[in-house]
Amino acid sequence: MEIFFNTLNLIFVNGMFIYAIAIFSFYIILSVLSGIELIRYKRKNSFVDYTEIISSPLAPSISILAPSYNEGNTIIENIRSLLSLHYGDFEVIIINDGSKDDTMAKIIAHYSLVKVDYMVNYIIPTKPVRAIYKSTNKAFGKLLVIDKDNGGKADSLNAGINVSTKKLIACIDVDCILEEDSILKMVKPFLEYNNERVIATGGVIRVANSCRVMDGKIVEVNLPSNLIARFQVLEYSRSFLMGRLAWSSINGLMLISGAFGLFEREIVILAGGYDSKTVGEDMELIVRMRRYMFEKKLRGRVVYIPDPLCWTEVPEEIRILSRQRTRWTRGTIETLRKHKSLFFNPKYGNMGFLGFPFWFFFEWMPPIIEIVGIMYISITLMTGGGNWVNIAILLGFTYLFSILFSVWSVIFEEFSYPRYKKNADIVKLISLSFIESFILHPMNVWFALKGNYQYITGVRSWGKMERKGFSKK
Amino acid sequence: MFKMKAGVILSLNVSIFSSLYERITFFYHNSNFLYKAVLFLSLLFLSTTLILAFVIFLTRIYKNFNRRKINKCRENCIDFIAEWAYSEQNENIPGPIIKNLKNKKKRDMFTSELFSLHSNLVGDSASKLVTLFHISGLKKYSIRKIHSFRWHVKAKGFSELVQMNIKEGNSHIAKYLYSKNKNLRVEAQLAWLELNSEDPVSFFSNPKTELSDWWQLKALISLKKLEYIPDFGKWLEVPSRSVVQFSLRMCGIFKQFENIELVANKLNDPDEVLRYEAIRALGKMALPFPIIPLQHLFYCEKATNKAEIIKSLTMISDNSNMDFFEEVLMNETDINLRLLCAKGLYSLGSPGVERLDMLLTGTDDLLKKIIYHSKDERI
Repeated sequence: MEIFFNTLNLIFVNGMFIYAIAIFSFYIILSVLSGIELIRYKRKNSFVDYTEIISSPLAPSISILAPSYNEGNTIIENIRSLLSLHYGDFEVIIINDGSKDDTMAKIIAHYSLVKVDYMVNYIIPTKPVRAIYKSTNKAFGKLLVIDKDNGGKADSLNAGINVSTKKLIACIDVDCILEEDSILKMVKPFLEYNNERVIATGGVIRVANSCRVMDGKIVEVNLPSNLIARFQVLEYSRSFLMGRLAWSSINGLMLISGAFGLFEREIVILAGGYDSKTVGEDMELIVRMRRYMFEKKLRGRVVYIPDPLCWTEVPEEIRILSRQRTRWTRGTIETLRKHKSLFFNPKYGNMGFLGFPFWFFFEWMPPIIEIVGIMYISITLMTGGGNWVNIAILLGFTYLFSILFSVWSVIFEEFSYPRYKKNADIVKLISLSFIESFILHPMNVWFALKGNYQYITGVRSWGKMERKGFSKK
Repeated sequence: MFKMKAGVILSLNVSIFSSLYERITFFYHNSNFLYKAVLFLSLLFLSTTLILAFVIFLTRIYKNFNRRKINKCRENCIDFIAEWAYSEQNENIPGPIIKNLKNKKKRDMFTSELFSLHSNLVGDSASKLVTLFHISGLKKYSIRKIHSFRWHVKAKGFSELVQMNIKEGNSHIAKYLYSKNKNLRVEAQLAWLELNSEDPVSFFSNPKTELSDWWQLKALISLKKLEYIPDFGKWLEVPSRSVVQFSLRMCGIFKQFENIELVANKLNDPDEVLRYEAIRALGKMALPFPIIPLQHLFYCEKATNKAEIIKSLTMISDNSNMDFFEEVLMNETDINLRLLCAKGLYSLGSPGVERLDMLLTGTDDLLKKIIYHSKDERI
């Protein structure tokens, strides 16, 4: 019996050790790749005049799709912001997903909308479209509004895809604030590759809490005053600048944020559109589009650019953060299960061989392994098997690594596209990295475990995301 | 998520090493080394963190200091450049400006302001700015840039020479027309295209030439600035697919009617993408000549090219398309193609509208919806 337990212990400890080495190595490699990609991107675009794209007949046309549900308080301003984007051939499609408030009435009144005889071609099945509206005012000629039965975000986006007529589709959250030149920057990768077809692009999403907004534009960037939101600035920075950029450089990217992404319409349709049954529809679509390309033996690429293009409001309350994070976890599990055939499958390139296993081992598994590890330590210490000094040293070791990683992401922020002008903001960010392990991290572990539990127990809802709205002048 | 992973490692390491030193045989033998390694790495992490924090602040201070210094003289420079561009008679460059030009950062700022104004001007004022560029000695810095070993500095030099129309760097640019560095090659080719108006696309003769859509977009802008647009008909049979694609596009955009037969020949090309471009080019030319070949081609193509054929026929806007449009509208299963045909009929004016009205008398609800859609001009 003792031999059995010793062997078990040995396997457990060795396994954990290998896992730890792998996780450290992966993140160091990813940060190096990100750094290289960032330098390459900045050099390449240092003398680019993006405005040249605006008037070119060779630039692809774009449909901007923005689903809206009960956004009556902000919808007018949000649409104005979208209509003021810098681009030549584009249309803005607002999809009212059966809002229960006055969203639709407000849009109709403000933008002088009338019903048009639009023949909807349900290429992707969706909930019924009640009516389609266009403005009688030619100044709003680019605006088209779809009023449909409630079916969720993915269903709304599918309705927008059915109605759109342009080559590319930009899927955004209507309450996000886009930089004026964001579309121009996102389009460029679609034009750059000769032998590969770019099927989607994404950019860095920034935290807009406490920023000052005027006429649908960010006019003053501030670090969030709320601590929970402030932590997420660090999180976003690590995730976007040090994670996705690296995956993009090796063409292994599996996720483009649902807040803002640009896709090739034809491939989205051929891949079957958004899956309205999953809560992680953004990740699932990218994986499916990439699968489609591989299975049809077409060379496809998903590109991430380090420019900050989109500003979003992040949760400031623990209960809302919990809903968001549990949903993310469920979305990850759903996608990983649905596309399990990709796992270590070299047929799907770096996505199958590296990206997919990475998501499995280092995005989904960590909270589970962490809790197992904590239980193991507790039992070891309680049974008198642990050495407190060694434990403290090793706790310190991991804690210092996590701080280094966060500060490293601040460096990325500073040397890429710095937006925080005040030195005090940087001091706060660096200070946050010292306390994050004790505040946000335990919460994240808990939310991830909760997400796993919800998945097992069959919870499939999106959960209500409440937003405070941006501060205005 | 990174934090999460760090936490996992934290617990793992604790679990690993607590056993390591006391119980597990495998790790027991190596405990000394690992113990030291962990301590060393911890110290390394801590010191690196402090150094990084220090670097962040030092960089910010340095950048702010520079920004303030540059902004101080920016306004003077902008005023001076604007005055130079608009005044009747320009005298010498004032001493303080010359002094500023000796400093790299200030010189870069001055150059950028000069280029920014120049790109918005034409005629006499623009010429004056070119003169200013020459007499202020900025030319030598642009030439120096094209000799840099860093590709992006070289490319910047190319674009500066192009904007100031300086042909001195041509021989140097020519070296990079087929460079292995894609970015540098693109910039060199675009510079060459603008600086060599006699034969701007001579490098097309290289069978390995590959032109991205980005290149084509930029090249179109440059071509529009040229006095004479090159004849793209001669590039329609070269081996490079992207060169043929670009040439087809240019034949359409610049309406090179003399090449219409050559373009129409590409309708038989085995490459689907080239056929697509040929269809588009013929639509842009809007001459009735290719109507019959386009209609015949329709039945052999896939959906994307079919849609493009209908769009091109709509642009050609000839009543002889009426029967074709009606046939597709009535018999095609793809709703998008039917919609395009209905729009095509509507675009033909009253004869087309009459035909649509006649079709509306039928009982097919879907057809009626399609026709109503096509007749709604707000869509």
